[in-house]
Formats: sequence, structure tokens, C-alpha cells
Amino acid sequence: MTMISGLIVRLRALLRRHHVDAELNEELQYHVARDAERNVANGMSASDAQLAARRAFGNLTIATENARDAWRWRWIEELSQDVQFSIRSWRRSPTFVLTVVATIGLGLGLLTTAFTVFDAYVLRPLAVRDPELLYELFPRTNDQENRGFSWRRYESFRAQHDLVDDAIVYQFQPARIRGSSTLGQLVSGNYFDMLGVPPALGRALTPIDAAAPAGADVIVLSHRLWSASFGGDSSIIGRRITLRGVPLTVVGVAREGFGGLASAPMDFWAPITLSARLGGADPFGAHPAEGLRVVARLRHETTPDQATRAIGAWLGRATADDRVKDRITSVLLVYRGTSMPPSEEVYQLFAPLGTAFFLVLLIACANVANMMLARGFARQREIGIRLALGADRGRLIRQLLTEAALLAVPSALAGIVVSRFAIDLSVRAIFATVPPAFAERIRFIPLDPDARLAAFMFAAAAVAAIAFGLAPALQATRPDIVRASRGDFDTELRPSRLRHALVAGQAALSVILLISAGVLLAGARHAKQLDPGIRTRDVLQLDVSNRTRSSVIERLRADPQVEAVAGVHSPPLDGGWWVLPLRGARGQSEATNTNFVSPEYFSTVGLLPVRGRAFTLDEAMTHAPVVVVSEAAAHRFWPDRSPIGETLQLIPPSTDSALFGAFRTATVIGVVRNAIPGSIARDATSPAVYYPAPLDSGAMRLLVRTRGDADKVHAAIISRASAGDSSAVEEAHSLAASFDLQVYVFRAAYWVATAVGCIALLLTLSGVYGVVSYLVWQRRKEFGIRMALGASAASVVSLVLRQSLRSASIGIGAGVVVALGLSKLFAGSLIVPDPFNPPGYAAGVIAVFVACVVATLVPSRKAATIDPVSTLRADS
Amino acid sequence: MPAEKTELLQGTLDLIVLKLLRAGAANGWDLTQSIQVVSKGALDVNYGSLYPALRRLEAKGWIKGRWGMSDNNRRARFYELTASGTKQLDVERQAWEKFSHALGLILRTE
Repeated sequence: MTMISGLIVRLRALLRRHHVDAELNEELQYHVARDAERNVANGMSASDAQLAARRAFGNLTIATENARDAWRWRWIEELSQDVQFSIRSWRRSPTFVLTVVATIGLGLGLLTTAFTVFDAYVLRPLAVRDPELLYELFPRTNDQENRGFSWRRYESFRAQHDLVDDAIVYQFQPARIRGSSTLGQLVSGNYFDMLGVPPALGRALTPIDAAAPAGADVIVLSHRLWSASFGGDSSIIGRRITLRGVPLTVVGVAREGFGGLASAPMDFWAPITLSARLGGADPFGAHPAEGLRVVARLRHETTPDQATRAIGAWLGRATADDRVKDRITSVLLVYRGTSMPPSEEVYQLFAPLGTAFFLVLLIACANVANMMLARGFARQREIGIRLALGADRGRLIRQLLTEAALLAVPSALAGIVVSRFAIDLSVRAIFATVPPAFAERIRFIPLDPDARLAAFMFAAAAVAAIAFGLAPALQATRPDIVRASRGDFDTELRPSRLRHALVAGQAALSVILLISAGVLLAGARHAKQLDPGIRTRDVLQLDVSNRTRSSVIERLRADPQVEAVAGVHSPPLDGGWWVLPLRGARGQSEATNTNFVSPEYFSTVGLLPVRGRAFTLDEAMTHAPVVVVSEAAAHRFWPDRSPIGETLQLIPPSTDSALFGAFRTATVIGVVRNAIPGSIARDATSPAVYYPAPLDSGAMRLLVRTRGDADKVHAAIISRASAGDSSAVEEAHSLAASFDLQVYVFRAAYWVATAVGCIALLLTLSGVYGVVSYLVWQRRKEFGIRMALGASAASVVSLVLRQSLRSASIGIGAGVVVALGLSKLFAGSLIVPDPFNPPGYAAGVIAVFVACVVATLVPSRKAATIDPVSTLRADS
Repeated sequence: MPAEKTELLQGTLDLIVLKLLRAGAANGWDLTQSIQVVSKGALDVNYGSLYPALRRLEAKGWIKGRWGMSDNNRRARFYELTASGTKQLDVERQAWEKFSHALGLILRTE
């Protein structure tokens, strides 16, 4: 009650300031009048009485001020005064404001762009029920091998209600729908129920749809696919569409915005029971595949740690009868409540971009700090006078900070505009530049701004305001009143050391960013020139549905434009192959890239045996225990003799034991040249081995050697091969396109680094220009004297050049050192194969140095044109 | 003005004002007169500090000001004690008595 009445009194004082002031005045006047009356009563004359009363009261103004303060929130009033004052002063210098807003806006905008993406993928919870409870399970064997779930194990796990609330199964499924590439998921029937996602149309999948082993032939489309490919036609419900040759009934459309538990939005969901018929593994049979991925919904009261222990223990008991090697000893829980689980890899992915953009913001802040410093310098006289009149230093600093904060608000708005533009531009650029064969498969989750983004923006703008506002405020209010009010800027008041430090810092940051760009350019060049070791331009990779596989192969073989047809399990250039520990007859086991290929593979991709021979058709059909090894593998396992006739041993991985079962011990029959095993991140010289598999087995991709450029003839070949059945060939692209896509990552990184580096360079250029201009202005008297005493223009120019290039050189040196340190950090990471790249370093250093010289030259020439007489005459 | 005036101790003005208002509503000038009269001229209140004190007490909700007519028929601001002000008076009076007792003990010690 007391507090509320106090609040009312203060609010009234704040809102009705003039009224309250008038009341106070009247009250004090009354007091003085009464005193005067008393004095008159005591026999004074009227005028004496008035004077005596005044004297007795003391300083009326101070009393009024003090009394007024008792009711006021002083800081609010001072703040509003500061704001009004700042607005007035900014209105007088619109160019300055515009420059600051553009500079900081650019920096904030880029950083916000990076944060927008990070926020959308890593921080924003998915729009599902209780996203914080969702964890994917990765069971691990004793050797830290992943071991997925079979359907049976999943079902019994799901029933353990003391462990988890519920669990779903999913598996990715690419498919061509209505002529466009889509990616969906095969899921268990409780998927939509557990995630609490209602359908927008029709119904969601239900447990009956995915009741093992047969299930129902149904599909739920994403809202996006439904709108894009079916025109949002609500009569879609009940219609049939063909998925990899299997006709499915559309039973529903998922809620708008729902993209499933994945880092890219999914296009459809179908029952997991369709897996084998759609060309995938069969998790239901007598020897079930164990590749199912399981996402559990934890119980509210269990922590992830408790769940990890309990689930690990349960899985251990469930696999207790298996071979020691296959027993599950632990489980890894990965958070799935966001598009990308916040893991170390994800942070590593975002860290370089975030750091680079943060550095740009830092450079922008340094620039603006410099401008503010220069401005504070020009305002030294004003500030000096205010200090001399008794202004509190703290109050002045607060006022200068308010000015900075007021600049931060429009800068933040500009930043939002910049970031929306940058995001839009990047998305367009990606679609425009990615190898065309993959453009239609790229999906982004929505990158809409949200409250977290606004908070980030606000915080970043506030930090920026302090970064560029505090140092100048401290400098400008250094309490050397006498000198300052004279406008006498002597050495002590010259904030030159700070400004030179800022120039050095800017040069350092630009050098770091440009060196990164140079190194990435070298990386991209290197990647582009990599020899994949196989033919790529005239080899087409096809994904065909099992139903039509044999007829498609027949037609391909008969095609006049087709030279050869082969099959391969892991596509040659679409990412990594299996890496399995293999062992020669003696010696250590070595992690080796492993693949299954049909006998025609080697001739089709031009990987001819240098020793021995390739597989025969018969060996492929019978899964004969033979193996072809690369030269690198031959050298690794049998450095001292011919590998032909030697044996190679493998222990089948638990997830694919059926596939590898026949090859526990295989005889080497041939050696082929080295080739890149799947991903350019793995060197062509890393050992690889090939086991035989027949061309028409279910899991094989087809490789077609064409006469002429594969990208040119592929449409014709495919239309002939599918013979009117649009779902016969799911997907086709040349191996060259696969290779381009892998190089593309490097090129994209290089573009981003170059763009960021150029922005940084530009900011540095303008920063150095600003500093040197002020330096020249500030020392014009000195230059005037020098020239009056006979110094030549050239010597003045070189004096300025020397001074500013000294700090730039220090900065450049520091930048190189930091870049070297960073390169140690990134050494061995995929994206930078060779972090120490002398041309890249030299280019960065030269660019920054030249920029600094240019930025210095212009204002220093101005110094040389100073008229000695006029500067000497000026009083300050 | 009498030569020997005692300076007010820091913080005692609030107590004095509360105590004087206990007797009934009064305006600022009345209060200064009362202080002089009751203390037999020994205490002199600096007017410059009286009005800030009144406003502070009002902001704390211990007293309440309202405009009224003074005995010479002029508009003046009268202050009266609120319920929480009465309570506060007791608190401050006790604190003061404790303090002055303790101080007395110390001063009496040889």
C-alpha cells in the first residue's frame, strides 16, 4: 500500500511535471510570504521584511531543485533529456548518421543472417508436441559400432513404458512423384500420434497402416508437396499415386509447416511396412535388417542421462545372447526437438561463418568508433565547456552513450533489411549455381524471423553501441577542462593511440578474412583438379525401381547410345562407402573403403585391372568369395609381394551381415587403379576393395556408359529405357554432376569468404581513410609550420604515410599470426585440404596493404596542400 | 538569530516532522515555527532541507499533503500523518531512544 502510494506520487510528478512544479513553487512562496509577514509584525519595513525572509530561506532555486528531486526518478528524466538532446544533435549531422547506420547495419545484417540460419536449424523447436522430450537412439556395440533396430526389437522396446513414453521408427525414402524428385520417410504407424501432428486434410497414418508385416498401401503428403505438385486440390484424398512403381492411396495431407523430424522438410510419409517393396531393406523377415532409426519420446520425469543409462542397460539385456562383438553396450541419445541436433559437428559447421560475420561486425564497430572518436574530438570544446560549467562526467558519458544507443536502433532496423536481402540472395544464388541435376532436390526449412532473432538483434545492436560508443565517450570526457574549453588539443588529449590501435585491429581482421578466402580458393581449385580416377562425363547413374529393373536393363543394353551397363552398391561419387576393418592373411586390420560392384563395373567406369582380372558373371551370381583391390590397398596389405591369390578377411558389420556373409574370407583376383572412394574428402590413395554382386540385385544403382556427354543424351536414354512408365527410373544424373556437387561445397565456401573479405576490406579502407583524414586535420598547424620552415610536400606526405602504415603493418602482421594459428585449428578438416597456402597468404597481405596505402594517400596529399599562412593564423 | 544553534543530526528531521504532525495537520511554515518554539529556539531548521524532507516522506507514503486554507486565509499545503506514518513514527522513536540511550552510556563512561 505504502509502495503503491509512493509510486502514484512519483508517477504524477513524472507525468504532470509542470503542474507539480507549480505547486512546489506556490508552497515555497507561501513560506517566504509568511516569514515576511512575521517580520513585519516584528516591526520591520515591508521591503526589509521581504529581504530578511528571502535571506532566511537561503537559495530558493537549490531548495526547489532538491525538493523536486525527492519525487522524481531522476534517471528517467535525465534519460529523456539525453534522448532529446541526442536526437537534436543527430538531426544536425544526417550524413554522419547515415554512414553509421549503413556501416553498423551491414555488420549486424550479416551476423543476423548467420544467426537466422542457426536459429532456424539448431535452436527453434519443431512444431510438434513436447519437442524437448524427443531423442534419437543410437545403440552402440562394444567396438563403438552403430547397431540399428530391427522391427521386433523396436516393438519390444516400445512396450517398455518404464523406459520411454513412446517411440517411432523412421527411414528415409527418396522417390519421384509427378516427375519431381522428392524425399520422404517410411515411418511406424504411431508417428503422427506421438508427434501430435494433426492432418490438414483427410487423416494421418495410424498403427493399422503399418501393422507388420503387410501394412496398408497408403501415403500422407506434406502440405508443401500437395500445394506444389497437386495444386492444393482437396480431391487428392483417395486418389492413387505411384511411388517407385508401387501404387499407394493418398489418405491425408499433413499440417502446413510440418516437415518431419529431419534437417530438410520431408515431402511424404508412408508406412515402414512398404520398405522392401520400395527397394529398401526388409526389417520384418526371419533375418531382419537392423537399419531402423528410432526416435523415443522420453517420460516427463526422466532426464536424458537417466534414459541413456536405462535404455543402454535394456538393450544390453536384449542382445545378451548375441555374439560378444554384436552385443549392445551403450546407447547414444541425440536430441531431435530441432531440425538439426545441437551437436559438436553442427557447431563446427556454423562456427566459421558465425566467426567471419562477427569479425565483420567488429570491423564495422571499429570504424564507427573511429568516427565517433573523431566527432568527439571535434566536439571537445563543447564537452570541455560543459565540464567546466560543472557537468558531471558520468552524466556526460551517459549522454554520449545515449547518442550511440540511439544510432543502434536504426542500425538494427537496417540490419534486418540487410539480412532479409542476404538470405534471399543466398537462396537464389544457391539454386542458380548448384549443379542443375541437384537443384530440384534442395529444400530449406523456413527461415522466418522469430522472437529469438529479435532478441539476438537487440542484444547485438546494444553490444555494438557500447563497442563503438564507450571508448569515444571516455576519451572525449577526459577532464582536462581548461585545455579542452580552449580547444587546445595537445598531445595528452589526442586520442591517437586508441585510434591507431583500431586501425591496426581492422587491418588484422581484414587480413584474417582475406587469407581465409585465399586458402578456400586454393581448396576449391585443388578440389576441381582432383582426378576422380574414373570416367565421369559419359557415365550416367540411374536409380530404378525393383519392379521394372530387369526390363529397364534389357532396354538399356539394346539402346544404341549406350555403351555398357553396370551395377554398384554405393554410388561412386555420392558420398562415403562402407569403411570396414579388413585384414590380410597376416598383419593388422586396416580401415578400408568397401563396395559391391557388378562385373561390368570396371570396364564401364574405365577402371581397368592393372594385374589379374575382374569378376566373371558367374562369380557375381554365386557370390563367390573373390575380391578386387585398388593399388593402394594392394600396397597396404601386401607391400612386398603380388596380392593375386592372397586372401582378405572381413568381419561382417552387424547392420549388413547378410550382405557381407559370403565374404568373410575372399581371394584377391585383380588389382585396379586408385579412384576416389565416394567422397573427395577421402583421398584417391586411400585403400579400396570391391566385392562381386550381380547387376540385377535389388539394392544396386545402375551405371550407364553413354556414347557422348551423359548430361546431353540422358533424357533420350531414359525415356527409351522407361518405355512410358514414368516411375521406372527414379532418378538419373551423370557422375560428373556428382563430382561437381562435391566441388561445389568448396566453391560456395570460397565465394562466401571472398564476399566477406571484400566487405571487410572496404570497411577497412573507409576506416583508415577516416582516421588519417582526422589525423591530418588535427596536425594541420604542425604541418603548416613544417612547410613554412621549408619542408617539401613530399616529406609531409611521407610523414603521414609512415605513421599510418606503421599501425597498419602491425595489424597485418598480427593478422597473419592469427591466420596461421587458425590454420592449425582447421588442418585436417574437410573443407580446407591445405590450410597453409603461401599465395593465399600473400594475396591477403598485399590486398590489405595496398588498401591502407590508398586510403592514406588521399588525405595525406591534402596535408601537403595546406597553406602555411592560413593555418598559422587560425587560433586553433 | 540566537548565536548558539544546534545543527540537526542527519536523519532526525524526518522523526521531528512525523512527531509534530502527530498533533495534527500542519503546513511547512507552521512546522518550522513549531520546531523553534518547542525546542525553545535551540534547533533551527534549514528551510532548504525541510521541503525535500516533506516530499520524501510523502513519496514514502508516511504523510499526505493536500491544499487547504491557512489561518490568514491563504492557500497553503497541509500535511497530515497517514496510518503507516504513525507506525513509522513508533519505529523511529524507538530506534532513536535506543541510540540516545546507548550514546548516553558511552558518554557517561569514564
